Amino acid sequence: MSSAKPTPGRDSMLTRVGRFALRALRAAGAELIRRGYAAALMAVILYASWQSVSYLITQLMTPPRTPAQIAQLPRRVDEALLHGHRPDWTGLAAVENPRTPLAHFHRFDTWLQSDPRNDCTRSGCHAPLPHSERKEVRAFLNMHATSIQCGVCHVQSDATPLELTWYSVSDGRASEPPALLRAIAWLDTHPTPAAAPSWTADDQRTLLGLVGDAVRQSDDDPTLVRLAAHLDAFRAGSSGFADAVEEARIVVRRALRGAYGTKLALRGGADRPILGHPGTAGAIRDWLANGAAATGQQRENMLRAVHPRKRETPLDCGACHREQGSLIDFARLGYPETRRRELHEPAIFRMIEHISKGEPFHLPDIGVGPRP
Amino acid sequence: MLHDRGTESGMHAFPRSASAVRANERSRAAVRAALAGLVILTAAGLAGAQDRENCLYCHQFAGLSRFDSATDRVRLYYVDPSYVHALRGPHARLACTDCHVREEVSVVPHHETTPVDCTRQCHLVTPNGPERRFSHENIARMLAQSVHTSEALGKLEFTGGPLLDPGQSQCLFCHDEPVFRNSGLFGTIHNSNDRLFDRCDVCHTSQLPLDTRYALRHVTSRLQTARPTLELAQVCAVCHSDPRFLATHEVGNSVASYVRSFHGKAALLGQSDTANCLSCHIRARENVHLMLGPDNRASAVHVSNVADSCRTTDCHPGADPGFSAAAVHLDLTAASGTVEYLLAIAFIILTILSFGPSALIVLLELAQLVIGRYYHATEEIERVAEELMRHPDGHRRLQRFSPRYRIQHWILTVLFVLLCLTGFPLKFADSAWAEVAVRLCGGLTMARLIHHWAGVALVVGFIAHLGDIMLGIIRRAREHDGNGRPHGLVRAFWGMPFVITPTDARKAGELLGYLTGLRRTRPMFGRFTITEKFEYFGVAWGTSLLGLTGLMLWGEQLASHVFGGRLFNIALIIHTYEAFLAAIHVGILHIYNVVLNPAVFPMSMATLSGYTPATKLAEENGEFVLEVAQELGMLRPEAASE
Repeated sequence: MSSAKPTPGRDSMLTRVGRFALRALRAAGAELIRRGYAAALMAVILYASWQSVSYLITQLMTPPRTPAQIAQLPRRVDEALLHGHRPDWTGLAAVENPRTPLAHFHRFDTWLQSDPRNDCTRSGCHAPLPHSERKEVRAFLNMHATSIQCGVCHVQSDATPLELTWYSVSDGRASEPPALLRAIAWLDTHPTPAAAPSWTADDQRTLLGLVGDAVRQSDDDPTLVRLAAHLDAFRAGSSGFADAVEEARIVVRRALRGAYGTKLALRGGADRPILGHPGTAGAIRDWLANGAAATGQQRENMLRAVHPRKRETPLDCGACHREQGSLIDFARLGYPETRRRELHEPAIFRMIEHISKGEPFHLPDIGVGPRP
Repeated sequence: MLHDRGTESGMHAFPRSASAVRANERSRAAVRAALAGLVILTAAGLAGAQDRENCLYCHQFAGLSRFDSATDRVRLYYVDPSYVHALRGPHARLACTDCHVREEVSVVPHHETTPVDCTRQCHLVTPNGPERRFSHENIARMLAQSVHTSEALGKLEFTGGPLLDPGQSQCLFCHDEPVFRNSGLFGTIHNSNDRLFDRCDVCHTSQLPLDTRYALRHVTSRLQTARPTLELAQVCAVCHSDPRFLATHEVGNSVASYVRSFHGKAALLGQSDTANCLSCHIRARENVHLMLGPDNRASAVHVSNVADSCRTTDCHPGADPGFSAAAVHLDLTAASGTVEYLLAIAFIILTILSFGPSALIVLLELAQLVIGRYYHATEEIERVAEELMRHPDGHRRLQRFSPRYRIQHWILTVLFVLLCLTGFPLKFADSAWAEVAVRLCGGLTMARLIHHWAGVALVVGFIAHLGDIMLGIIRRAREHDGNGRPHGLVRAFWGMPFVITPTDARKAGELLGYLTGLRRTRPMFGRFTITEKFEYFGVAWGTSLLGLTGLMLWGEQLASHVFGGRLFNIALIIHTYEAFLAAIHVGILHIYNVVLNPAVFPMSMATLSGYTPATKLAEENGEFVLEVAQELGMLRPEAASE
């Protein structure tokens, strides 16, 4: 046992060496930090000084530039604008009543919601408003492009009704139905209380949450922003809040204009949305590189390789907009009863079918008073 | 409406065989009946809506558009339905067919449409009487007499090609769908105070029918300019900032130069009532559509009228006629050779010559640390300084800043920060942070108020400080030197510790030599180092210049009688360049010296206690330490001289 006991002399030597090493390490570390700090400071001061002086010189030497708040407006509505968001235009955000592009007189409070997850448009092959051939229906079909992924009508699927899912245009993942639809469903199932107790704080929280989600999903639709502010401004049981709920019943329906932040797509494995033809990346690259020069059968083959699951004949309006045998199970997709009735309305799709046959449709003289 | 001008030629492209026509006739009645029902239902649902023809049923959808690859244009067919639902503007009560030809749009798909003619007569529907016929024809007549004639507008060329489609109304260059502006008086359009309307409706019901909400929106909106200043700048910038327009017309970017003026910057920072393009370019009581070119004698900006344009009751009524010589469109780049340009160059050189050497010394000091070069001779002085700190008299004598000066320093600090926070947003008005800073100040009006009064306080403080210094000089002048003679004012001044002497200049050179490795010994300074003296001089110089020019710019009407107009350009250049110099000097170098310098980090206590740490004192103010030690007999004279 005694041999295991360390001798004081060797111990103190070791300790001294250890302490010395520790001190040296500490000193070296401190010195390193000191020098590093000084070097970082040098870099910062050098950068700030350079920036300051070069700012003065460039400010004097370069002609004045119109700031983005004034110049960055959509002057011409070309294709590039379709891929962006309204908030991208600094000039619009900077003013009280942002003006529209010059050739477009009418105000637009929102902008076509771009879908960066849709393979058909992000590949560079199709424009976000892809329908352009048949004058009779192209604008109506494009109207659907903001809420339905191309594959719903153009990709082969034998299921009846179609197996569909909502997906978020921001991340391309399966999502809940749009907040607007959920808000309508909530309002439809919550009639105005006839007597006290009126709306509760829970009601207010739920409705405000749904409208708030709809605001985000619609890229800040101003009417929804205003509605959310109204719903938030009143105490739940007050008459003011009751008025705001009645306002909500009108406003949320009017906001169904194609900016939902989510779209319908065919549902694939593991409930994932199908956002393009699977396994066609190489064919798409080939088409983009050589498609313009291809002719005849070669062109046909290339296009077939890009669209392996394409329907020979895309779905027409009547395939979905009908009550019996509709290919879309609107109820399962979260559409409330009132909205389903509107989408099943036969007059609209009959009109579309009518004009799609090349037969112009004359609007009836409804709602127009006599002229003086 | 569907303005199709693509490859198709409207309904004539459709099959018109006899069978098709018969089929069409058969189905038309049924479909029309169905759609009529739908329209009635929808119209009933949209109670109070002004969309009498129910066009919004389709046209409210953003996607109701198409891309025309032939012209690379997107044809947008959608309109903001809230414009109609919420009566957001004077056109909200019009039927679509008041502007669009009914025969062309009453069929789906719409026929190829004729571009809208803004001079066409429309029918305004109001609740206070029968429909009124209305037309913008008079505006067209005015434009024909203005600089913006139809012929001139028709020749415009833009970067990237024409902005309007062939045949579209030229009104679209400046106008889109007009909206009522929110009124600050009665709340916003959409949040109008119901009680207010209740009061109006007491009378304006059946006997004096008036849609009071609509009328009030209309009136309160028109009590303001049709567009706030920034929106108007956007309108003018469509042409007057377009590179191709500027090249073909050989004119400068007048919108960009306007935005560099005070008015333009104020507009960028949210002040909607500041002078806009029309404030100067249209004479009082004149219609904006009668704008004339600057060469026209009747123009508001003609050299013979421009003084009166500045001096209207809304703008600068008390200003001297010469005030108009102040440039609203000051473009220094294009003004090379002018006094203003030379002054700007002079200030840039001044900035480089004053900021540059100080920055160089700081960078070289840091470089010493990076390479590990330390001046060991200061260790002895540091020991003396520590000894002095322990000595009651020495402790008192080593205090470099008395409480009086520390208080003055902190007042200066607060005022300087306030002036920077409220002044620089105006200089960098187009930066995002500027808007945030101004909003934090409570708006531009409040920011300017703070800036003005902080400036006044700074000037008053500076005058008081000068008085204090003067008293010190006078006191010193009365003291006797070693020969029993009074110092006199001039000698007393040169003896003050803040004065930069030839010795300081020599030592500055020596310091530079040491820091660059050309000298082995580091020079020692007295109570204040050369950089501190230089900073002090900078504060005095800067406060004088900024105070003087600031007061001129603030009291522009009064000052114009004394200095004329052009001096405002010079005052503005001096004010902005000097402020920038002060900001970079303080923001970069002074902050390094008193906060970030490793010798004082995280902060120099000198500003609180008046004492500098012994290490830094020995390094920078060694002469001061030795002088005190010698006076207290704690150092042999030979040692001091060594």
